[in-house]
Amino acid sequence: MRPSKAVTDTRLEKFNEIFESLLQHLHGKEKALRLALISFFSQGHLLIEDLPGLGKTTLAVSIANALGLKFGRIQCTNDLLPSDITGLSIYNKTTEMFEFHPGPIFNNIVLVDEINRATSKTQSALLEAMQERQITAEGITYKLESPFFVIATQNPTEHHGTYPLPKSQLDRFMMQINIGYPDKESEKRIIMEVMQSEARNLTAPVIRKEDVVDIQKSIKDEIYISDKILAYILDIVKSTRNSRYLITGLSTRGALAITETARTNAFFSGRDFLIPEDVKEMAEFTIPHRVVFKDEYEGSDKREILRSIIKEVPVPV
Amino acid sequence: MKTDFKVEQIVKLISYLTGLTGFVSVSRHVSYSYSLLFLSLLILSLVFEKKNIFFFPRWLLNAIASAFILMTVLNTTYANLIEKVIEMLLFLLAVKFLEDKKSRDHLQIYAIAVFLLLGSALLSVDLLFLAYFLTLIFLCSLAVIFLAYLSEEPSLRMEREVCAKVVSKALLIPVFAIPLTMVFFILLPRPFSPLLKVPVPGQKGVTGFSEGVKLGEVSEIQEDDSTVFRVNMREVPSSLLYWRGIVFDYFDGRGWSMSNKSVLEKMGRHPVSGEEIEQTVFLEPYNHKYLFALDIPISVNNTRTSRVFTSPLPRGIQKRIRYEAVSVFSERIAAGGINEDIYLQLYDGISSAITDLAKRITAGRSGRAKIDSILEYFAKEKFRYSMEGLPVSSSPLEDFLFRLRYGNCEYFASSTAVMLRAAGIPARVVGGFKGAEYNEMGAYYLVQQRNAHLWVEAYVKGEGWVRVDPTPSTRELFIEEGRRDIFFRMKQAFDVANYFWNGFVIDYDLRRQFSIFLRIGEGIKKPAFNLDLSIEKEKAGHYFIVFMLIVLLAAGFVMLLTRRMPQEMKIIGKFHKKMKRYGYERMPNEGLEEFVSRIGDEDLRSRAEAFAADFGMLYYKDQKFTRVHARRLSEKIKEIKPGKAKLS
Repeated sequence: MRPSKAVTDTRLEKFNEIFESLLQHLHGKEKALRLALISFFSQGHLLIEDLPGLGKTTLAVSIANALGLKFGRIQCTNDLLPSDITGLSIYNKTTEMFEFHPGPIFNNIVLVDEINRATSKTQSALLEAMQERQITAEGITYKLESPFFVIATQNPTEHHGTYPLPKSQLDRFMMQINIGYPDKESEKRIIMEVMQSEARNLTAPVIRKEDVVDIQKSIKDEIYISDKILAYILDIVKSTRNSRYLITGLSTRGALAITETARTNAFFSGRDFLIPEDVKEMAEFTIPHRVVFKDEYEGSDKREILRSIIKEVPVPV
Repeated sequence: MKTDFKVEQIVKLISYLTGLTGFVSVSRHVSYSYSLLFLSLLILSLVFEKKNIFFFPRWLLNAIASAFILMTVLNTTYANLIEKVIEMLLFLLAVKFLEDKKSRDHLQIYAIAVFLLLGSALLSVDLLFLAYFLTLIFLCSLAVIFLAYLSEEPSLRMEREVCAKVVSKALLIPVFAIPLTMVFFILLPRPFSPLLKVPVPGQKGVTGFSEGVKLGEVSEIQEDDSTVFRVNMREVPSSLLYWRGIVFDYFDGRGWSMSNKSVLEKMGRHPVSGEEIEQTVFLEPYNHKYLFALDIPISVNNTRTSRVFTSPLPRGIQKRIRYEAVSVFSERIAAGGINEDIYLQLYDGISSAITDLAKRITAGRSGRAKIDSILEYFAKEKFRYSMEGLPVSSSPLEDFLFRLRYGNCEYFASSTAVMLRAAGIPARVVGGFKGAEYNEMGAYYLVQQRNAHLWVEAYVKGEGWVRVDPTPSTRELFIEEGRRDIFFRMKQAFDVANYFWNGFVIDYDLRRQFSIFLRIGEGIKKPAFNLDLSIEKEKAGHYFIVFMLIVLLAAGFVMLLTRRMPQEMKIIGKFHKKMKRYGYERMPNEGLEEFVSRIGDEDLRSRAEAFAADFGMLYYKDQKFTRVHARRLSEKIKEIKPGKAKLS
């Protein structure tokens, strides 16, 4: 069943509202914001790889606030323990029982800062929680919040004391994006704003949690994917597997990620069906962190290489 | 606004149409009572269908059918075998319709309809057969498709568009069958005439040609419209249209026949001279052995005609034949001398009234003047042409000359010949046809049985044989009657189709096909520009067939290719072509929206975007591209224009 156009429209309006209000605080991060929201509404996690001080944290906090969701933050260090993330049971003298104290992961939006500074053990605990959307501590399983969205950041050039995420774990992130330097005008406005108000009051909630879930659901149920588009996605997947630039191609989870993000992209573009452009646009952000480039191409712009791979794939019509 | 139909209803409709087609194909060969019975049973079953009550139990119907078959078998003889079988099948078909039909009943209906058509082919094969055949193929293939749906889901309903799609697909089956049929066409020998038609001995009382003339046996003659032959030639004045077939020299008082003496005549062939005219004649099987050509034929298929300028074959013509004839327009055949005994013969018991009359009106005249005096006598005494109330007697000539004073050409010609002989002028009677309808579309003359005619040839010393036609010209009125109705041109057009069907399909035998291929081979070996523009007629015919075959094959291929290309591909192709004209070429990896977004000109872009959005909506939502969509999208492509006149 196709939704009546009116329903889709009100949802789309809500999305645009979120986007506009966030943009007022996030100058020059339009692209990153859009991708972050796509990732969020596709119910996948986001990895932002960029230099420190470009507003990764601001982006994450703003989104959480605007969507009226609970926000938690984990600052990763090399002495961070898994229980610092998941929470732990502490003996309560009065009740004479162990009580579970949930960690910061029990929030709707969790910012994991500098994820590659945590030890492998901690990383895998986090990533497992991201995948399973539940925590098991002392034999008891605790469901995580829903919606559950992790924004992890990592610094690309920091080499001292980092534990790079293995590909298998990068695969758990639906998208990997950069924020990049803001343009001159935006940067000027950021500085001005920071100067004027000491404590930057971040965005007030624009919509309620129920609306967020509603939008997520309608994207899942109401956006039509033609066989032609699926075939196109699989063609792209196949070409990554055969590419001369890559050692390993895209996983099936990767193909799923392209499909889901493309679907959200279609929704945000006001369409209830996918077109190849949705796929192309999302492929750049869903593929590079999942595939292994040959050594000689490690240093080059991976998005550029990917674009050249996609260029070889003809669109359905 | 979506209308849908029950598949069961569709199948029923097809079954009724199939049954009717089967019936119509044989309706010419069954009696009116059977036709009436069949149609009324059909209407009855339609009533049942409407009320959805099937009054008769199946066992009863089966019993009736069996009884009927038994009865028919008892009445069947070798001569009426086919007719009886057809009647039986018709009855079974009608009974089938009376039943509450299940899938297998529908299949049985189709089978019976096909058998009926086959039966009709045994009785006659003509252009109509092709029409019935194609209709049946189409209906049956359609029915099988719908039956397949029906067996899956008995209560299935189908949208109108879906139905239309299925129907159009099924329509392709006969189209694709044609190339296959061509293979058979080339390989199989062709029946020239109905396969099993038992020749009916010459029916009396019908206008038409016969090998003997009998007077005084029937009182009324009916016009017979059936075609005897068609002649491919240029149009000539209608006064020249005497088609010579047979020459009679012996009269026994009631009928004319060949004495064979003229053939044995020791005289040399009489010379004729004048303008020569070539004809290609397509003669229908008419059971007699004489070939016809314009008076006076000098050769048929490069063989000289007989001494009396006729061309008999050894036996009657049972299949359609084709021959070339050359004639000379001449009213007389120069002859030095003849065997007068043969041509002055008078029958025993000729009444003196006739001889006296002959002598009286020709008295004092000689040669041509004698002939003219007899013709004048008929005119003066107001003898008139009639095909009704003819004398039935043992002395028909006397009745004609002295009592009734009216008759058809047989009476006029016979009495003239007899009177000429009585007056001492050698005479003979020539049988054939007079006049014909020229078909301009096909460039041929159509000669029907109704054109059958007798005239006289008289021998005038010093001149030779002279044609004398005593029949009043009012005959022409009889012939012309009923020819100017509104259907006339339609009939003519249909006859052209028949002409080509006969010429190129029925008469097309393997030998001729080989000769065509040989010719093609020759044509290929020869340098192409050596083609002579004045190709002879026959050759032109072959080239025509070959050309048609090639055109058909090419058309088939084009159809195959265009069919394979779906509507959406055609539309997008059109769009690409148009954009290319404006200098924008789409890469194969480029999405449609991506492509239009890089168009510089704003007006051009916005219109292209409108198309892309509409197209994408249909295409990527997997919607069926209907004709309405196609038209709308084509309209949008047409609207794509740059803002200012950049192309000029």
